[in-house]
Amino acid sequence: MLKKLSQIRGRWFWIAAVVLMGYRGWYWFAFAPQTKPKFFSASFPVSEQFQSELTLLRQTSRLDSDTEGRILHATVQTSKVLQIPAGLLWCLLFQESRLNHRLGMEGNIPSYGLGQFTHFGFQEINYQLNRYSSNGRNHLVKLLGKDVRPITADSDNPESLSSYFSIPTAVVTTGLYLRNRYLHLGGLLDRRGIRYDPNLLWLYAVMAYNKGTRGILNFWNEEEKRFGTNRIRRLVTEPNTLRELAANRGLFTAGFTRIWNRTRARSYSEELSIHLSNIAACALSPIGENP
Amino acid sequence: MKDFFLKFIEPLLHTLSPSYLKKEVRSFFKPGSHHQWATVAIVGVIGFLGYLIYLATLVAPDIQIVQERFHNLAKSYENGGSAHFADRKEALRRDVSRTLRANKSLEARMIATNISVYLFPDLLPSENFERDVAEEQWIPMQREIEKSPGTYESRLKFEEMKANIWNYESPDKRAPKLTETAETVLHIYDLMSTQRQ
Repeated sequence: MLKKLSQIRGRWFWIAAVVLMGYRGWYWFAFAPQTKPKFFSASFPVSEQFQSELTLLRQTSRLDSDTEGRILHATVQTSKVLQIPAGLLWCLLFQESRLNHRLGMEGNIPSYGLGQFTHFGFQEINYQLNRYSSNGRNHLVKLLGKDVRPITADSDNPESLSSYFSIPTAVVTTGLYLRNRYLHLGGLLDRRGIRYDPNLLWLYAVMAYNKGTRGILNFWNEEEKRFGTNRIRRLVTEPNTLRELAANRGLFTAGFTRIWNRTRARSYSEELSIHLSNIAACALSPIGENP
Repeated sequence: MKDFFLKFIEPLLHTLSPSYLKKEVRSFFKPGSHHQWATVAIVGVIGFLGYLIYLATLVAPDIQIVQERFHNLAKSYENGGSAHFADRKEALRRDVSRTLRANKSLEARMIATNISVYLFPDLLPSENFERDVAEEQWIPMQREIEKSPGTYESRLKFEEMKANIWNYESPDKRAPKLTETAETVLHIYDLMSTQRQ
């Protein structure tokens, strides 16, 4: 009798296992979550507007295929080592100089080359590279083969690796400076115990690259004063909140008024919103409106 | 000699003796005692003085005076050297602190906040993101320059501080510009790192 019962039990066990597995299989095929699109697009520029602008640069010989290829290669290599989204770095360079690596070589402009680097930007790279992370110099050596500092806007030897007019140097230097902005902002949030989405923080780093870290910190200070710390948490974790910022050109004004007069604050706020929406249109995945 | 000291000690011992103290305490609680009036008068005067001091801390100086003092810091170093500069800076710090605490206009508080960012970050609330940046990127250099002005080391510190402030603040690459406050602070420490007074 017992032997018979154990046989029945064993049979039921196998039947239940097969049914359960069948159900799980059907469920997986029927309701498998769609693959979440990556925040930063793998191919860039994303928006048609920037694609057609790139085509125009090629057609009008303002960008030759060799230069374009070298910039892309250096961007991919740099982004791998520095862990920067490649599309973001490329779009920043496109936004700053339209990939003209010799911009500012002639004339009396205070910013130079692909990333529109300034005198004080060079000073940070040349003398305080490891300020925010101890491996800045190692990354530089890994990417350029040796420590090529001091890096300057040397227009007499533009192909020298110590010149910012050289493509690999410009891309690596810009990447290092951008990464420093990211590490600085991240460190300040960490100290306050505010968790952040790294993807969103890269966008804030791009904004700090363009308008200075002070502008971003005063924007956060003002938002925290008006709406509390949770607002900061949302700003650095929810993509939709940031998308609102890119759409509303006056949203940075209140924060910027803490630093500059109202006219200047409004003008910088507009510029920053345009910059952010351009970077977003160029580098972010459009799938599912994941901004 | 002994008698001489006893002349002074005896009255003291008498005053502190338990019997005398007991008598005094009893007299204090007697209605209309002179002790009561004296105590009320002393407490009243101390309270009034305290209130005046409290009122004085609430009255913030006019923001134009604060700005003038801020802009005159460089001159105070030129004319009076390090010690005079330290005095003027401390006076400015008190003014800025009062302005931040007082119910002043938004503009006045903005000016005081901006001066604090570049000179007195400890006056800012701890949750202000700028406080940490200031305490790391220019206050240590300012202290070094103040400690040994006019030396090669102080010049190096000034250059580091200058680069940090430019990289932190400059909002426009094609037309680089700093706020007036940052420019004034850089002028003060530029002077101090080149001239020993």
